[in-house]
This record gives sequence, C-alpha cells and structure tokens, in this order.
Amino acid sequence: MLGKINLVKASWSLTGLAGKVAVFGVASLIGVANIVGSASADLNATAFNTTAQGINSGTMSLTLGNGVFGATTSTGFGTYVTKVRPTDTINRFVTYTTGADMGWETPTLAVAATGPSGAALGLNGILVDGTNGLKVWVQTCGASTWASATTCTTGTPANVIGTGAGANSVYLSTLIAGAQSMSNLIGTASSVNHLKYSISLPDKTETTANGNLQGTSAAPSASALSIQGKSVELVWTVSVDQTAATDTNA
Amino acid sequence: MKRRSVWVVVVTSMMLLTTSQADLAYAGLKSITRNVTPQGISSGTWGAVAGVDQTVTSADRAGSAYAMNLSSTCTSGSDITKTTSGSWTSGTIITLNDVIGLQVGYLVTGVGIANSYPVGTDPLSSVQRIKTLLSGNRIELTNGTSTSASGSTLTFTVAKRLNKVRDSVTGGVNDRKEIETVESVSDLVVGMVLRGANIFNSGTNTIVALTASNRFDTATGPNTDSNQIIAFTSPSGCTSSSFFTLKNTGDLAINSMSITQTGTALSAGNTLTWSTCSGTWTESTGACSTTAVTVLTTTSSSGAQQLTLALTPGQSVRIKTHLTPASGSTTLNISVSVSTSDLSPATTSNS
Repeated sequence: MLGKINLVKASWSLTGLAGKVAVFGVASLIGVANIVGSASADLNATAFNTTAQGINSGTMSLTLGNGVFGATTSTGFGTYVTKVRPTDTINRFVTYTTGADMGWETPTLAVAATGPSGAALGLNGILVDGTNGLKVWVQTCGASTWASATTCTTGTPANVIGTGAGANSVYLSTLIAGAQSMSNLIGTASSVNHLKYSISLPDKTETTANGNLQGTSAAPSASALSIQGKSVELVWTVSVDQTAATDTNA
Repeated sequence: MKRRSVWVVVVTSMMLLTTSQADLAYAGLKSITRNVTPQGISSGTWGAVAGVDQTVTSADRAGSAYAMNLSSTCTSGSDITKTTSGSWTSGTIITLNDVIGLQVGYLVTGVGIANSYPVGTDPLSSVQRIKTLLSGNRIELTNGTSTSASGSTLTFTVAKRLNKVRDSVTGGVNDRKEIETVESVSDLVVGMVLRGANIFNSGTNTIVALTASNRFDTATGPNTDSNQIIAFTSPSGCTSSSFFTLKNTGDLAINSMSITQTGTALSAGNTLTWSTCSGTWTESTGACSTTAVTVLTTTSSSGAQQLTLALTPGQSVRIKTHLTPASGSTTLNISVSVSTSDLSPATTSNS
C-alpha cells in the first residue's frame, strides 16, 4: 500500500490535480495511469516496497469420511444394501471434515440416482419415487461423535434433513429433484460434522399371488408397479459456499 | 479540456473496477463432496408357490394356481354293524344301542330281519332298509315283521333308490353312465363300488364323479333304467390323499401366507386337511416318521385362509393333503399369496 500511495503523489506533481484524485483512493489508479501515459513528461519517479507483499489465497475443502458409532466404524455409503423390505431402516454414519483455511455456509444435500447398469432407472424408478420410494432422515451429533447408533457422546442428535422417522423423513425424490438445505451443521474451519443417514423404505402393501404381482401378469421384479426386486445406486452430494467476504485492516 | 478529459478517464476506470469487484463477490468459492462409489440399495422380493416338488419356481406358476389330483384308493369298506337292544325289537321298529352313522335308505341284514339284504349281493327293491330314524335309538324298517332278539348284530349298508338313468350328454355320446337318485348324494363319495341288478359291471363299477341335482357318474356303462335300490361300499374303505410342495420363492423370510383352494375335492360336505411332518413322509403309505401336524383345515365354504408357516428364502416344505370323506379322483387348485404383512418383522441395521 505504501508504494501505491507514493506513485499517486508522484502523479500529482506532473498533472497538477492534487487533492482531487486522492479521494478516489486505490480505485483511481488506472485513471491516473492513463493520465500519466498521455502526458509528455521529462521527469519520472518510482517507489516500491522492498519486501514483497505475500498474498496466498485460501483453500476451502469439505471431505466425506466414514463415521463411527460407539466402537464401530461405519461402512459409510460404500456397502451394497440388499433385500430391503418396507419399513426397514438402514443407518449409515459419515463425517464431513472442513479444511483448516476457511469455513463455509449454506450447506445443501442432493442425491443422484442411477440404475444398476446405467443412468436410466426404468423399472427401478419406483425405488426412489415420491410415493413408494426410499426416504432419508439425516441427523448430526455436531462436533460430538455418535456414542451409539442413537445417542451422541455429548448432547442430543439434531435434525439435518427431515425431522424424524417414517412420515417425517424426506423422499429421495425430493433430493433428486433439487438440493435441499441442511440444518445444524458446523461450518467453521477445521470442523468435523458427525452425521447419521437413516434410509428407510415406506410401508407398502403388496401381494405376490402364485409368483406374479397380484392383479398383473408379471413377476414383481418385472413390474413397474412393484417395489420388489428393484435396485438403485445413490450418490450423496453435499455442497457448501464460502462464507461472506471480509475486509481486514492492518 | 485537459481537466475534463482526466475526470472522464477517472470515473470510467472506477466504474470498471466496481463492476469487476461485484462479479467477484457473486462468484464465491464452493466446495462439494460426495461418495465416489455409489451407494447400492436393492429391495427384496416375497412370494411362495405350490408345486409338485422343491424345484418349483415362480415362473412355473406365472400367476396360476397349482392344479393337482387327489388320487384315491378304494377297497370294499367295512359295513356298519349295530347291536339290537331294548324291550321292543319286533315288527318294523327296532331299538339299537346307537344309530350313529346310519341314514335313511341304508340296507339292513341280520338274524331275525325279514326280507333281509344278503351283503355282497345285488339288492332288490323289496329288501329291508331303513325307512325312518326315530328317537330313542330306534329305526323303522320298510316292510315285514322282524323278530331280532335283543343283542343281535345287524349289518347296515349304504343304499340309495335309483330313480332313473340319464343319457349322458358329455361329448354327445349316449353312454348311460349318469344316474339320478331320489335321495341326496351327501353320503356318497367318488370311488365307491356299486351293486345293483341293473348296474353295469355290478360289484366292480365305481362312482367317478358326483354332479349336481343328486346325480353321479359311474366308470362304466351302460346302466339300464330301473327304479331299484343300489348298494354302495362303505366310504371307510377309501383313502384319498396326495402330496405337494410349498416353497418360498422370494428372497425374504415369511411367516405366513394366504391359501385359497378350489376344485371338486372341496365339494360340499368334504373336509380337506394339510399336514406337515417334522420327520420324513413315506408318501407311498402317507406315514410320517414322527408326528404329523395338521396346519390347515378347509371346507367348501372356507374361502381364503391364512396359513401360519415360516419359510426362509428358498425353503420348501412337503405337505400332505387328506380328503374326508375319501373320494376318487378329485381336482384341487391351490393358490398361494404372500403379502407384505406376511413378512418377518422389519429391521433397523447399523453399519
């Protein structure tokens, strides 16, 4: 800063515009430079800081990891969950670790669902539809770890997505349609959020009669009307923004 | 002019810089994290089917009930015997120790019975038979003056008075195998052997089907038209049972299933039971190496029934069906349904 101010003062001596340009501060530098360029001057002066001003840009990072509940390390999202039946619940524990440089805000969660062998869900779509499909309830112990599958080492679990099991959970279809805001997360630098994802399949009465879905001529796994024998692959994406820019004076 | 020019340049530069700063503010840093390996989730399936053995699949049924025949082995059964008692055993009214199992129309023979029916012969219309069942364990005979002493043994044989032979319309062939009786056919069963003067192959001809309006079909014909009494072997001489397999074809454990049965085996008056054996069935004899357990009892009015039977995925169980009273060849269609409520309880898993 010191070098720049000196340069402005040097320009005043050449153009005679002292006192007026100064009010515009640093923003006037380019204009001043143009003025200097257009003048035919015989004298020139430069000033600069002998010690280079070091500026590093920060790094914002958020890292997903497998969480812990009690003495058990969760498998996170990495395991294939099979043979899910209506009202089954699958709990997975993960951590989101923030880098040391800077914090973040406005976290959101989105889900991308693909078929077992490609993007098209086809018959499997019912597994993530908005009526019969999977639901999720995400809770956090904050900076505390999960003492067990249901309790925090310190404090009580807080809702992140959804407000409870069953009807109070959020359909994956909602998260597939658009990212949803996440609550109660800690966004400061170096923070670790300990989350539990409770994935459940809503209750749905289905009858298989003599091998076929009742009322149809197809096996349940071959019927788009049936929740049975379907599979999806889910990618859970948490997105955060940098916190508001700050001005520092020193 | 110089000053004005300078001001224009300065203001323009400020505007450019201000715009640039605004752009930077809106394009703040973002960070995302996601699971690199997608989380795979698949739902289970539930279902069970009936079939001939443990190799049955859902595709074998493809939505249709399992059709089977309940074969029957009939032999000449034991005729019913009763002992006379009481103070009055004479004429057409006779007192017995009990009248359990007797019905109007049964033929009667024994010491002191007038116009007695010789068991094993073709009965005549004039032979003695039960006319009425009276109170006090008494029976009224159709004719004659019987003089059976108290303590005498009387033999009763199922009998019906034949009304007429009908011309069969099956296939347009007049084989005269169909017979219409005056009484009900409720005490007749498929497989019974018939004896009668105008019964074709009397003594070896059998009932092959019970039809509507108190009619039945015989295995051979023609039977000739005559108003006469026909004797039938006792139903106790027949056994009617068969085996089939129930299999869990889903990949989830089930605790129960819904069973619906139809077919001639479930004609009015019949009772069908299902039994399981924790040991081993000897299917040729129907014997269980341990103790057979009845798991389902069905009549013609039962409709859909809930069968409590736990099966793990892929597990099958051998079921014995037994028909009472026994019949000859009857059909049975077994439909099996498994609903969400039949599944073992849902679970919460943590890992």
